[in-house]
Amino acid sequence: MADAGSRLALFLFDRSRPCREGCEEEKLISFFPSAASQDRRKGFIGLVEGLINFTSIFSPDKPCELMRAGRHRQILLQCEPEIWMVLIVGEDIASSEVRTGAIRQALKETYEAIVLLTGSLRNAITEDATLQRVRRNAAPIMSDMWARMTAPKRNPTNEFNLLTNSLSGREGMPLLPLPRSMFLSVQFIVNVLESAYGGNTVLNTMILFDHQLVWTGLPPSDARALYRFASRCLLPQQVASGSRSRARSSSMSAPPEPATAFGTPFRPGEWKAGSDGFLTATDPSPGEPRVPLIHSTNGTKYQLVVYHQEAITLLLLFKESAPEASSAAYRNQLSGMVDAHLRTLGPGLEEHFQAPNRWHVPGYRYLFVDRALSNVRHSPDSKVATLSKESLAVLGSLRSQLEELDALKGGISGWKRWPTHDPQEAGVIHPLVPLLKSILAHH
Amino acid sequence: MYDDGNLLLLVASKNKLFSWPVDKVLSLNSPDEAESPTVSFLNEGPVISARFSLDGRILAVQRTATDVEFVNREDASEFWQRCRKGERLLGLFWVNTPECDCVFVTTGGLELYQLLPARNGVRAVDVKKHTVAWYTYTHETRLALLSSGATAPVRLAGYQFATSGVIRLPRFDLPSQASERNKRAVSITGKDVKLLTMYGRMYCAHVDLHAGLLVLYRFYRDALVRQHTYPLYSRHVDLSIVDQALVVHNIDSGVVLVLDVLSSSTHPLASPLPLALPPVIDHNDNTLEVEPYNSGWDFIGPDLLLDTQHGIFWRQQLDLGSLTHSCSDRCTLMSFLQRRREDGALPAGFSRPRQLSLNVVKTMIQDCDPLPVISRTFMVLCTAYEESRNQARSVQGSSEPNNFGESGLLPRSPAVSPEEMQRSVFEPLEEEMSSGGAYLLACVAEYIRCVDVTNLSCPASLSLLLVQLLQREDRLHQLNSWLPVLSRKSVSNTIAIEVAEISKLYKPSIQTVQDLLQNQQGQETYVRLLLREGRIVEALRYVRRHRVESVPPTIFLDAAKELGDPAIYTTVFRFCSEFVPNFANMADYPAYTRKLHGIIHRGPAPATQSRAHTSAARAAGL
Repeated sequence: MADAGSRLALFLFDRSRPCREGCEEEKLISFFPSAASQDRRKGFIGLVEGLINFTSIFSPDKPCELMRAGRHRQILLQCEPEIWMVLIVGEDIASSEVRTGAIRQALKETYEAIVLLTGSLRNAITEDATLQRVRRNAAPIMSDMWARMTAPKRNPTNEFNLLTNSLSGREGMPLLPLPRSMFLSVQFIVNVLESAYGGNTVLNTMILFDHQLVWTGLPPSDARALYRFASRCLLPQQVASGSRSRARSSSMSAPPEPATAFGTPFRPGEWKAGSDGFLTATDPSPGEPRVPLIHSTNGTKYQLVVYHQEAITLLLLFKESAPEASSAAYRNQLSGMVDAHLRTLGPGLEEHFQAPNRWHVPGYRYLFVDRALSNVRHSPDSKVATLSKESLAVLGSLRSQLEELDALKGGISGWKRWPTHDPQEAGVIHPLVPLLKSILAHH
Repeated sequence: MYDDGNLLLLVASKNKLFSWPVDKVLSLNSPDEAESPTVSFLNEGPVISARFSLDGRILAVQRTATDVEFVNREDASEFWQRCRKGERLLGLFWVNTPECDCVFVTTGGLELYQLLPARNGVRAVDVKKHTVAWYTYTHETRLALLSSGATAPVRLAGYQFATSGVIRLPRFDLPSQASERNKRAVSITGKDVKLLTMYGRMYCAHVDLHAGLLVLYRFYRDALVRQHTYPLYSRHVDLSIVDQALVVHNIDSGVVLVLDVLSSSTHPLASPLPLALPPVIDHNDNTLEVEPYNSGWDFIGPDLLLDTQHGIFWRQQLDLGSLTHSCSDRCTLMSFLQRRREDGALPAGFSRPRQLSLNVVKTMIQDCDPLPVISRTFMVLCTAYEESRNQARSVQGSSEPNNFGESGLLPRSPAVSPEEMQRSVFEPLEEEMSSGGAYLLACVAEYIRCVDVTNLSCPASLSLLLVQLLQREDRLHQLNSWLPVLSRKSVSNTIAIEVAEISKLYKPSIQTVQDLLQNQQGQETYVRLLLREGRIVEALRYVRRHRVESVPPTIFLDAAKELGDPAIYTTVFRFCSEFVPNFANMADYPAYTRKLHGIIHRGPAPATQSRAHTSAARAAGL
C-alpha cells in the first residue's frame, strides 16, 4: 500500500450484504477515487473487512476504529450497524498534525449530511435491495467531501487544512444563551409560527443570526446536522440571487466528478432568494418535490422552508404532508405574522452578538464541548490563527491523547506508547491551560 | 324632577315638595321599607323647577318664566328674584364658586348671583351675555353649555363653575355629520347633546340622528376636540354612563350597546343585549309587568332611570358576565374588565371582574386563540396589575407594604397577579389540557415575557410549570436553552431540584442543574444533590473544583459509610485527610478512623486493598 495511488481513498460499504467470493466490490455504496480499478477496490474492502473481523473478536460492540501504519492511517467509522465509512489517508496528505479525531469528525459530518438530506442508509437499502437508491443518495455528498479533500493543498478550503484547527468547534453548534428578554422574544416568534393554523403545520423551527445559532427546537443530533447544513449554504451571504448562482457554485467547490443533484440541494449557491424572502432551490431536479425534504435521525421527514430577513435566517420545518409549505400565499401570510417582530429582534441580536469579546475571552484560545447537548463554545477562527504552528501542533497532539484516553475509558484497548512528560511542552502550551482544564473537566 | 347637585328626587304637589335622597331609595329592597320623604312646604302656585342649594339650606323654585322664589328652610323666610328685563328664564342651578352661588340661565345669557350674608336675598354679581336657544348643565361636570341656535352648525359657549372660579371655555361650532345636502335642515337641540364624564374625562356627546352617528367631543382646557365617532343603530337613543362605560339605549329595538372610550375599537364591546329589569313588586305584593322603554321612561343623571308611569326608580348596572359571554373581541374585553371596580356592590348572580378576567383568559387558552391575541391579552393583564400595584404603593406610602392583603392591591382593583394567574389559570389548564401541551407551553412562555416586560416578578411555580411542560412535551433537550428564563436568583434553587429529578430520566439535563446552581448557596445544594444520589466521588470533585467550603466533610464520610463501598470510603477519607485542614483534630476523627480500620480488616486482602485505594483516588481526579 505504499504506492502513490493508495494515499487517499474514501468509501462507504455495507458489510452485511452477502456476496460471492471475489465480488466484494458489490458491497460498496460509494468509492473514491472513482477511477480506481475493480481490483484496487476489492483490495481495500478486503483489508478493511479483515481488520473489522479480527478486532471484533476482542470487542464485538466496537471493533476497529483506526489502523495506523508507517505512512498512512485508515480511519473506520461504523455509521449504522454494519455500514462503514472508511478513509485511507497517507502522511503526505494528512500529516500527523491532523488529528484522527478530527478526521473521524469530518466523516461523521459527511454521514450526518447524508442522513439529513436523504434519510437513513439502511432504510434506503431495505427499500431498494439493488443498492441503486442508496448509491444515488450518498453519491453527491460523498463526492462533495472527496472534492474538498482533494482540493489543492494551498487552497484554504482543503478539508485537511481546516482539520488542523483543533479549536474549530465542529463537534457541535454554538448555541449560547441569549439575554432573558431576547430569548423570550425569540420564543414568541417561534411559538407564533408553530401555533399558526392549528399548530400542526410548522413542527419545528431553527433561527440563525448570521452564522450564530439563536434557537433550535430539534434534538441535538438533528439540530447539529441541520445547523451545519444551514451555515454552509442557507445563510444570506451564501445565497446568490438569480443567474449569478451557477458561476458562484462552481467556483466555490468544483466537484471534479460531478454528480447529478438529487433531492435537497446541499452546495452553497444552489439556493436562491425570492423577492418575498423565501429561498428556493435553483435547480430542482425534475420530478422531485418543489419543497426539499429533510430527515431527522428518528425517521421523521420535514419539508424545509427557509426565510431570510436581513441577517436572520428562519428554517421552518413543515409537516411532511402539509400542502401549505409549497403555497406562496400561505408562506407570505406566515412571514407577515412574524416580520415585524423579526425586524425589532434583528438590531437586538446584532448588538448582542457583535459586542466586543462576547464569545471570545481575551488572552485565551479555548474550546468547550458539551457532548450531550452538542453545544460548543470556542475561540473565533481568526484568533486561533494567531497561534504559532508549534502551539497548534501541541494542541493537536494533546487533543489526540485526550481522545485516546477517552477511547480507553470507553473500554477499548489499543497498542500505544505513552509519551514521556516533557516540561518544555508544558511551557509552550501555557496559555492553553484553561482549555485543558475545561476539556479535562468535561471528560 | 331630579336635583343632581344634591342627588335628590323631587316631587312637587299643590303646596308641598317631597324629596328623597337617591341613594336611600335605591338601597331599598321592597317598597314597604320606603322611608317617608322630606317635605318642604311651599306657597301655592305653579312649580316649573326646583333645586336645593348645595348646602341644602335654601330651596330655589322657578315659579314663572321670569321669577324664582327662594325659601330659607331654617326660618321659612322667603324672597323673590326676577331675571333681567326682556329675558326669559330657561333654568337655574346652584354652584360653589368664590364669587357666586346661584346661576340663572336666560335667553340672554347667564346671570350670576351671590347670596347675601343674611340669607334674605341675592345680589347680581355678573352677567355673561349670549343668545341662548337651549342649554345643558350637569353638576358632575360643573359645566354649562349654551347653544346659540337650534340648527346645525350650532355655536356653543361653555362655562365651568369650578371651586376656584368661573372658567370660560373656547367657543365651538357643533356641526352635523349629515351629508352636505341635508345640512341646512338639521336641528340640534338640547336633547341631542349630553355632557358625560368617563374615567375622569369630560365629554360632550352629540347624538347626530341625521347622520346616524354618535360623536364624542372631549373637553380640554383650551379646546373641544372630536375624539370618537360611533355608528348608531336606532332612530331613538338615550345615553347613560354606567361604571365609566357609555351605554347606548336603542329605544326602537329595545337593546343596549356598551361602548368603552378607552378601547381603540369603534365597535360595541358586545353584541346588543336586552335591558334586564329586576322584578318589581308593588305595595300589594303583586309583580308589576313593566314594559322596557315605555313612554314614561326618563333617563336622568349619568346612570339613573325613572319610570314615571309606574312610579319606579332604577339605577343601571352592567352585567359583566353577560357582556363577557356575548363579546367576541376578548382582548378588548379584557382591558374593559380590568378597568372595572372589583369592590362595587353587586346583585346576586353577578360576577366580579377579576373572576371574569380569569375565566376569559382561561377560555382563550382552551380555545387556542391565536398567540398574538393571547400575547396582547397577557400584556393587558400584566400592565393592569403593575399599575394598580403602583397605585396601592403610592396610596399607602412605602413604609408598610402589603397592607392590602396578599396581592398588595387596592380593594377596588380587579388586577390579577402572576401568582393568581398561575394558580387559577395555568395550573388547572395543565391538568385539563391533555393535548395541546405545546400550545400551553407557548402561552406560559409568553406570559413570562409579559411579566418581564412589565417589571413584575415571575413566581417560581411558573418556571416549574414550564419545566414540567417541557418534560411532558418530550422537549427536555431544550431545557438548557431555557436557562436564561429559569435562572433567577430567587427561584433557581427550587427549579434545580426539580430538574435534578428529571435528570434521572434525561441525563444531559444535569448540566442545566449545575448551571442553575452557580451561586454559593446553589453550589451547596448541588453537592447535596449529588450525595443524595450516591455520587460521592463526583461531589468531591465538584467541591474541589469550585472551592465549596460551606459543606462539612463529615457529610461525605457519612454518605460514603452509608453506601458501604470500601473503596469510596477510603477515597473520601483520604481526600479529607489531604485537603481538610485540621481533619485529624476533628471531634469525630477517631470514629471515622475506626470505621476505616474496620473496613480494612473486614475487607479483601491487603494487596487488593491498596490497589483499590489508589485507583479510587485516581478516579476522583485528585
